[in-house]
Amino acid sequence: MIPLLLLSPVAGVILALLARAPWQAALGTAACAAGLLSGAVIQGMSPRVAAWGDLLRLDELGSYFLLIVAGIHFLCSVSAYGYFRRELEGGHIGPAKVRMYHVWTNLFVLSMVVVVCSHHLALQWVAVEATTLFSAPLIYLHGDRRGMEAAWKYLLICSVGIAFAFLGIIFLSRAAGDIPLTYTALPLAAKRLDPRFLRLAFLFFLVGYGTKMGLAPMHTWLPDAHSQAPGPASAMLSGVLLNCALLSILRVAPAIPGAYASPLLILFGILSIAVPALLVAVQRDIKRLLAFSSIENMGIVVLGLGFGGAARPAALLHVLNHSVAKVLLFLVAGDLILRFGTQKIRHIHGILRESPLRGVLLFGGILAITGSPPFGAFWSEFGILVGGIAGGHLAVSLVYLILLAILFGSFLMYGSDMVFGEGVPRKLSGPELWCLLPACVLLLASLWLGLHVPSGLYKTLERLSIVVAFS
Amino acid sequence: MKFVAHITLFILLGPLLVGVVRKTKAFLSCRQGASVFQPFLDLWKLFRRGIVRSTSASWVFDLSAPVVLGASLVLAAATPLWSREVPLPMHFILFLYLMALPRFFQTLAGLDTGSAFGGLGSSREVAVSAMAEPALILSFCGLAYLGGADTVSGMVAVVPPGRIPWRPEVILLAGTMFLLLLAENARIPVDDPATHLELTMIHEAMVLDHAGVDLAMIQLASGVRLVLFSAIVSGILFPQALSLPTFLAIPAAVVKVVLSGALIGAVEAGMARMKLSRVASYLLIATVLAAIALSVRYAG
Amino acid sequence: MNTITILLLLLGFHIAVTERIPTAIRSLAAQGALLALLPFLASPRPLWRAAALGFATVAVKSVAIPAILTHAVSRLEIKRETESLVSTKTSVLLTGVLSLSAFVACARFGLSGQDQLGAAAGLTLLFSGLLMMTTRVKAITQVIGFVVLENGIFLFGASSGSEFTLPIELGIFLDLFVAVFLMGILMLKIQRTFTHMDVRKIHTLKD
Repeated sequence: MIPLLLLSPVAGVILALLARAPWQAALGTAACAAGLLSGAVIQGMSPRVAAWGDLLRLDELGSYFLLIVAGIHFLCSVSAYGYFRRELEGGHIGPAKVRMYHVWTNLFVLSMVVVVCSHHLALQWVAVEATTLFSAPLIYLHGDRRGMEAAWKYLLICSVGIAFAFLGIIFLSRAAGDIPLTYTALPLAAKRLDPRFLRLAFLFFLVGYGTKMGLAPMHTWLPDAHSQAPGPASAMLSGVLLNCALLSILRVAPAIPGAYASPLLILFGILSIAVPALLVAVQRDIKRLLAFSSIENMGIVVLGLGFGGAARPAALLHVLNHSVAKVLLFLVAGDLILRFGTQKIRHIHGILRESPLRGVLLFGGILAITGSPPFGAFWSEFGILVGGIAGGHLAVSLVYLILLAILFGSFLMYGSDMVFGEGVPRKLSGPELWCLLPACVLLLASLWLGLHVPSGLYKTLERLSIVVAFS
Repeated sequence: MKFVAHITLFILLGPLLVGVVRKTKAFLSCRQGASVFQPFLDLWKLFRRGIVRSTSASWVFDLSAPVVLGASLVLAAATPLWSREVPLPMHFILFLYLMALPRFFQTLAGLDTGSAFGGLGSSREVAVSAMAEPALILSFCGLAYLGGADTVSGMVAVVPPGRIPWRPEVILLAGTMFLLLLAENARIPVDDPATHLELTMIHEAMVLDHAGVDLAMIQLASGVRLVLFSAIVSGILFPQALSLPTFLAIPAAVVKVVLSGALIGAVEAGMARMKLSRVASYLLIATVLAAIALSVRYAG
Repeated sequence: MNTITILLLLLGFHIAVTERIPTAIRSLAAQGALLALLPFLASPRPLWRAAALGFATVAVKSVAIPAILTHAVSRLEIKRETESLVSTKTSVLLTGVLSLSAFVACARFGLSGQDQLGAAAGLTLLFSGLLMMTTRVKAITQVIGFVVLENGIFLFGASSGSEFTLPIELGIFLDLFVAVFLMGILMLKIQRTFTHMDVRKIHTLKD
């Protein structure tokens, strides 16, 4: 199975390189993404663990993340077709650059597939570093100075962060001795590992991969990078790349003593919610707003993992909910930016009057990402709160609740400014079907996850939360 | 007897080392260069000349040259050149302060004549040596720590014979000492001994007013000083050579001195003089290296 | 091994204090060549593995990366001086303090002997790389700092005896190479659009 999963992005790269016209490249990417998605679904259904050699192994946790990667990639590749068609019509970008977009995106997805399939932690490190390298060209695709500035920061800060994670791997191998650094072997030997090195290893993992996840205070690159990439690329960066970094931390978690790890996770988590809560109120750029929301949501996930107990499955569920809602928002935002020709929030208003579909999508997305019922994120955020209170973290839970309320207020303010109000003088052109169809699917998915969490999913998450529990 | 032999060897090697440095420098810049024995002839010439002294100079000026030479020879008596046994074992703190004594007199003499260049040279000399002081003290402390002895002769031979000598901290300390050698003896990255431009001089400006026998004594003293530092650096790096039997050890000492002369000459030929303002960085680097050597020792 | 470690440390020190970019690049290449010897000393069996790693180290760290950087220097026609937000003296002192703290940290942590020297030297390189990345003004010196940092981690890993299978080790080298390559390309592009390489002036994106 794994060779097939790896093959489909590779095929996407080849098709994009062979393509004569942008639409061909887009079609190739979408087809390969569909292949990857079906592969991921088949693997997800089957109870067997796929393995290829000692280095690659896809267990249930990996499958869960792979499904998110593949699903989002498929929807983004559909949306990218519509997005770049508009960009080409507008003359913002040349066909060669669109082709490069498809090449880099497929490589980027390939590296993420390797991240989720890695059995060996050092291989996973290599793959995470590769995600940075392959996604950097997406950020400066337009070749303007802001994009380059963002890409420079992204490359430098993430590379240094990842270097720290490698230091963590060195400490881990020191702690492990002869035990191979695989996520199956380490938890079994958790009691035999040298605790001093283990603690250092986890600290460096958290700081290193946390940089890649955008945890505060290592988040500084994230708003720049996510706001400068083209719409679908921003969606991928925000919706799936952050999850891959999270998975890298989860893989080592079972070997770490919980008494040491939990306070650290809670600290980073609450900090990552607090920083956006304070900074969101002064944002002027719609994509930066969404990027800060990503930091916040990663903070929520990490906080949930730190709480442990009932909060852990909720945190894993929140990974999915965040991806769905955030990708929806980035896709809609990308479309709006093309229509309005600006990323400034104050120039975007009256969407509902001009284009009801976009208005509903944007407002729905904002409700979904802030965790209001009836969307999925409500349940996961609520679950984390319950888990926190049940785990005895009353004060932290209270702070968490207050910060969520602040964020909800800010987002609702921006959302109502953009969606309601007087229409713009120019009439918006009709909805670009390919751009908005994936967004509709995602909105429905979020709604579905909110109204009815499938029992199969819930059981899976319960099982996974035992897998990622600290020792 | 031994005392006389020790001092004589220092006095003979001093001008030779200066000659070797000049010859290497000439060779590397594709010049013929004077013979390595030229400094002996220079000294001979100077010793036969009378003294011309400034009318404004006082007894301090007259005293300075003999004190400089005398102090340098006392220091030489404490430095192991071919054997661990030295005529005058000396605590390293005393050694460091005795090193400052000739400089004190030299700077006074530079000021004493009242000439502009003398004062300029003195002030620069004092500045450089003040900045070199921490590095010097730190590296001597490091050597004392490594060697487990507080006399200069005891600590230079840090490694017992028969063991692998090149521990990292030893290499670091030798490097620091070499940097200090260049700074303390007015060699190139810090000062240019061959310059003819008074404005850029440091050491040479200070002794500009000395002539004849006085100048000869000062030049001899600086040669001895150079040998002294080379002996310390090579003693750190090759302590085994210090425990050879005497008939082998003396030629070995001569070889070491000639080699270090070649090294100094190579550095002088390959580098340009630093700006005065960068000398501080240079000496700071030496200090930090000595500190790292100490911490390596502490860690290992 | 000890000698190599000390030489690496000194070269790192040299890179941190030198004020000329080409000199720094040369020292970086020399560091790469020294690092290539480590696999032979740390884990010489099987020989072909050590040889492959040594070859990869030389190819990436002392040929490819210096070539990219040299190319960038000549193409960008930047001045040869490194520019720093702090004076040379301050950075000398800071590097010294950092290396002292690295040694003390390693001693406190209870590593000993061979281990300790390598680990402390690796940490020192890492710290001085970070220092260069944060205090230097020019983009290229930041990249040099990044490579020094990576070298430090490499040394640290080699002295802690962490080994992975060959594909992973080669993957690590490939990652480093691609990272520097991309940074090089970005530098050229930044130069073209910003007409300067001063990262102090790159701050259009902020909150």
